[in-house]
Amino acid sequence: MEKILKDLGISDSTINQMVEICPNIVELDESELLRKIEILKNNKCDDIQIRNIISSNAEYLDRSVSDIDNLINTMEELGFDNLNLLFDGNPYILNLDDFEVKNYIDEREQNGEELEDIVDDMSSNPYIFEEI
Amino acid sequence: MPRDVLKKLGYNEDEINKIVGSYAMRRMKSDTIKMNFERNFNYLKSLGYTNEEVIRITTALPAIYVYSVENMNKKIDEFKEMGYSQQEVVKMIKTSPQLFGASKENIKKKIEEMEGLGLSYRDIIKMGKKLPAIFGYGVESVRQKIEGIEKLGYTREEVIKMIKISPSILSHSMESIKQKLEDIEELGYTREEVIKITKEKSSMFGLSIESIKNKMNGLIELGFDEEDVIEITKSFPTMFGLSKETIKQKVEDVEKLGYSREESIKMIKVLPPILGLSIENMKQKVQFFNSLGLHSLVAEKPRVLMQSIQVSYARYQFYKDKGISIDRKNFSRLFMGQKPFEKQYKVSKNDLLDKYKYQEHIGEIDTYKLAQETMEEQKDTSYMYETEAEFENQKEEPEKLVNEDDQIGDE
Repeated sequence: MEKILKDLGISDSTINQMVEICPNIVELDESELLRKIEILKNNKCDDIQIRNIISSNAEYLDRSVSDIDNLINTMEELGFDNLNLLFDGNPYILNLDDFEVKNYIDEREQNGEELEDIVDDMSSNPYIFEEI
Repeated sequence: MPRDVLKKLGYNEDEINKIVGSYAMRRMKSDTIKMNFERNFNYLKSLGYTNEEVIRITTALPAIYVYSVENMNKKIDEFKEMGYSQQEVVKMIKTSPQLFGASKENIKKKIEEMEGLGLSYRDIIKMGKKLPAIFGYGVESVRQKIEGIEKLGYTREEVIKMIKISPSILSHSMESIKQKLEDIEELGYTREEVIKITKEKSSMFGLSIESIKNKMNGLIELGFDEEDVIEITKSFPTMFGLSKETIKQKVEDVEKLGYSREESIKMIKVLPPILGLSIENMKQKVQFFNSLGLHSLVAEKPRVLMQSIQVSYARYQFYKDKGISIDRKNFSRLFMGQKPFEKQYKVSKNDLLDKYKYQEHIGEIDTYKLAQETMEEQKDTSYMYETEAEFENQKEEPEKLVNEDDQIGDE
């Protein structure tokens, strides 16, 4: 695992911090780690974005693939595009579940906002996801 | 004597008594027992366990000494068929030796019942890696635990998410879960805030209240006041996963990027997730803003760090091509909402990113050179004001633009 993370350009001290935040990643087998990297690649993340996302959000590596897939599919269905930029801007989005994004948007829609505007607002200001 | 064999293998008197006195042993002949002790002890060692681990496992489940090697191999294969690797099975048995004694049918039944609680097969398998004892829990008690946690103020979906990430929550009693919420509340949070924090960082149920306090004190020692700490942890509960030393290291990392302690603290107060951003991530973004002559902007408006550098770079180059120089006065143009940007300039995000590729340019353009160019351009203030005025005239949605600008400014 450590070698793959280092190959991504993540330093030893950052890897230690990642393990501190999410001790489970020590047990992560290589195939799972590669799968999580693949998900990011499939969403057009380049090497720098992958490094930024993984090094800043170790908890992403501990999530189940199906939960991540559900989140990404839901976000795409809601109209989010360029997810690579969004995840690079706010890597913690990847810790959300699909229902959390849906509920947040539903709430704003109930307050009279249009879905398109909400998605544009969240895409332009990724820190808004922190409100979820 | 079987006792002598066990003694030779390293068991103490209590452990020997437990094994020899177990129900499984009582039914076996002395010679067979003696042979099994040595054979199965070595078999377990061949799986990678140390002597101490074998002793612990077999003392917890003496029936292992009744199994044949074929039986034990079969057990491991059954777990592998469920989706675990050999290494994972070995680790799970070390944590929960009783798993070796569980029948395939029983585990399968348990998984099916748990699926009925809203967990997928894969979720349960993954949870089993983190908490092997889960296969020993009664499904009814898991259901009651989920419902009990729900009653504390979480939705069912939230509880499921929490236990998927931290299955160990299921090992806590309802009393200790309630007590933990109350203890955290006493640190200065409302119940609603405690729910939000624990929902995001469910592993907090496994932290002692002293450890939580210790982490909060770590921030105070660095110069944050108590109110700041509450706000920071509310916004970024992941911080509770960091040690005091790492929290200090994070602040020092920000300082190394050229900010004073005071500025670093202010930045974290405004944008607590900075505590989670890796130095690699921050450095790249800060260097980009440095190259634009906007070093102090990051300290004042750290939310600029939450825009992908690809977007910031593409927009910067776009404005540059239009003759607009980005500086302290108009930096918010880099962070305009996508809709007003597209409406104003008739350029889609994809077209912009295709034209101005940060990845390609980073190899070609030295950021120092970029900074020199920018500083040179910014000398020509009259030109800059002209382009400012031109930009203002071009606005099609003045109100919307002001709002977008305010979002970055409103911190």
